[in-house]
Amino acid sequence: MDIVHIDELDVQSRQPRGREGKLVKTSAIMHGDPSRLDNFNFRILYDEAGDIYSPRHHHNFCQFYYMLGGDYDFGQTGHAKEGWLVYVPEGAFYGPQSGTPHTRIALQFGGPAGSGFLDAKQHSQAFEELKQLGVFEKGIFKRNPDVPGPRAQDSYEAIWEHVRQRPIGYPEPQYPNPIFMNPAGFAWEPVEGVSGVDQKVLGIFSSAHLKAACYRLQPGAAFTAEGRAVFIVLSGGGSVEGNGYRKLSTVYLEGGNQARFAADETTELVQFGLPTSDQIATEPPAPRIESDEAAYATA
Amino acid sequence: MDVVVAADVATQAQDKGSDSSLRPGGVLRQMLFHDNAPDGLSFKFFRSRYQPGDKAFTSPRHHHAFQQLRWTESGEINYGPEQYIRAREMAYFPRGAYYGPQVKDTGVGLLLQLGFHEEHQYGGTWANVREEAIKRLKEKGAFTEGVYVDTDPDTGERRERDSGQALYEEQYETQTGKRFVVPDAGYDTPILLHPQAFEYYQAGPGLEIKRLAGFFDHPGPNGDIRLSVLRLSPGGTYQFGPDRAQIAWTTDAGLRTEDRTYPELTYLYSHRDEKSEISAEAAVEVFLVELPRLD
Repeated sequence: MDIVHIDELDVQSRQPRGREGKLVKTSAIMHGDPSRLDNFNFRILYDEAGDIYSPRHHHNFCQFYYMLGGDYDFGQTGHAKEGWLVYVPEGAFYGPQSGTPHTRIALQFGGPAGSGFLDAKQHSQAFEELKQLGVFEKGIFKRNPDVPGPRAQDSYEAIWEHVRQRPIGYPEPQYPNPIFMNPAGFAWEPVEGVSGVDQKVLGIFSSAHLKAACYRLQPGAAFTAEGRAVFIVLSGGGSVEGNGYRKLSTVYLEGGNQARFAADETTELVQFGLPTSDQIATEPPAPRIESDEAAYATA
Repeated sequence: MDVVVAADVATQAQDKGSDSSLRPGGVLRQMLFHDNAPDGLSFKFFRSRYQPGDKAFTSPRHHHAFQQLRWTESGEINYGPEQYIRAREMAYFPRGAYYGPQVKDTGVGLLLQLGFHEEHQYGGTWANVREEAIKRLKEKGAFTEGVYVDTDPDTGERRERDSGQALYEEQYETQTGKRFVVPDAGYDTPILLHPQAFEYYQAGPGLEIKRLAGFFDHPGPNGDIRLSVLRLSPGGTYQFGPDRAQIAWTTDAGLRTEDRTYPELTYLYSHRDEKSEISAEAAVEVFLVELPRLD
């Protein structure tokens, strides 16, 4: 089990890497092992200006978002509001995205199709290198005239191909649109056999059976979390496996592990499920073909 | 287990029934199954052939207190602006989630509507008040293009409501004397699923399964609706357990149950507390819906 308290993290201010927007404040919470297909990146983003923009695009990885504050517009595919969860399936097109000022937690991870996930260092290095070969404008990488490759390409896609040195491939999405969940629309139910603990199961998604859920612990109650997942404390306090937790403490569990949350105060948690290695394809999706290009390379 | 075959089920035109004033359109419908089960689950499951032009089914943007599952057999079926369910794809319509306006003017598809108690006011005691409620609504206002228009008794102003919503409100108030309210949506929009993007896993000899999703519009350990696809080969079997009511269908010929082989377009309803088994004479793909229960 790993635990990180978000309020102890450094907050970096930087230009969005390959996306439009003046400045984004972010803290890296945790990351996985970049050599593994189940690698993940878990971070919090503070968009104080509300000016981040992404064109309509898709990714070869999965994402969960939790909206801590403010709203985030996903264009024609939906609108996330404060307190909502969003599951973005691998391969699903979404956006264009734009935001009013908001704060969100984002978990990006290699999905069941087996494309894995770039780690932040690879991503940053490729971004800097690509700036020598073209320009990033409104989420699109435009190559200099003498540089081979697509003239205009989604910025993340250009970064991915630069790192991997091969054309990216996208799986056919198992669900073709993001799924927006408002936990307030689900009823609390007691967790069977566990006194003082209620849950809202929000969904079981994809062939990896990713579980999204909320839990509420009364003072003095204990809840044993299990399975490969990330847990975020939304409110309350107590201890987990000998470590104190408080608002915005985050816990990562590997598959087969458990962690016992013991509440001193009424506690609310949210769970983002992650795939285990046996749920991930070992053959990545077929590389894109040129005819795919127009689908994502125009803003 | 109840089994029906499309070729044996009567077709009724939507614009010929007693509810024809509620929604515009001349959809050709076959009622496959419906039930008001002892545990409060109410559903209807029908096959629709949508018609073009004046007979297109249209409805305004609206929502329901019940859940829906839609599956397209052929063509593509609209459910909102630029939103379509294509052949062999399905969409889950969550309780309370708004969708539409929709224009269904082409394609053949299945529609399952389900809910508990007043969420799905169909059959049973609701049938006793339905005609009376429609009559009363027509006295107070008018159904126009899927919208019910009347005058708000509190403000005296013109009021527009979805026709289906107006009927549910009228029926519920008649039955209970209380105001009918659609619960807040947990899922914000309909969720489109691509079963073809899932890989089968081997679940037993001659049996492969794709688990597509579980949606939790009702609380409780059995409150979820589970969507799957099965592939049976000769020698394989699948057991419908007694824990939940289940609906299934196939477009393939060769499904077997209770010593009979069925042709293409066969539909199954396994009641709760019932055990059934299916097998296959040839490779058969079966879409499976495990219905929720509240206890």
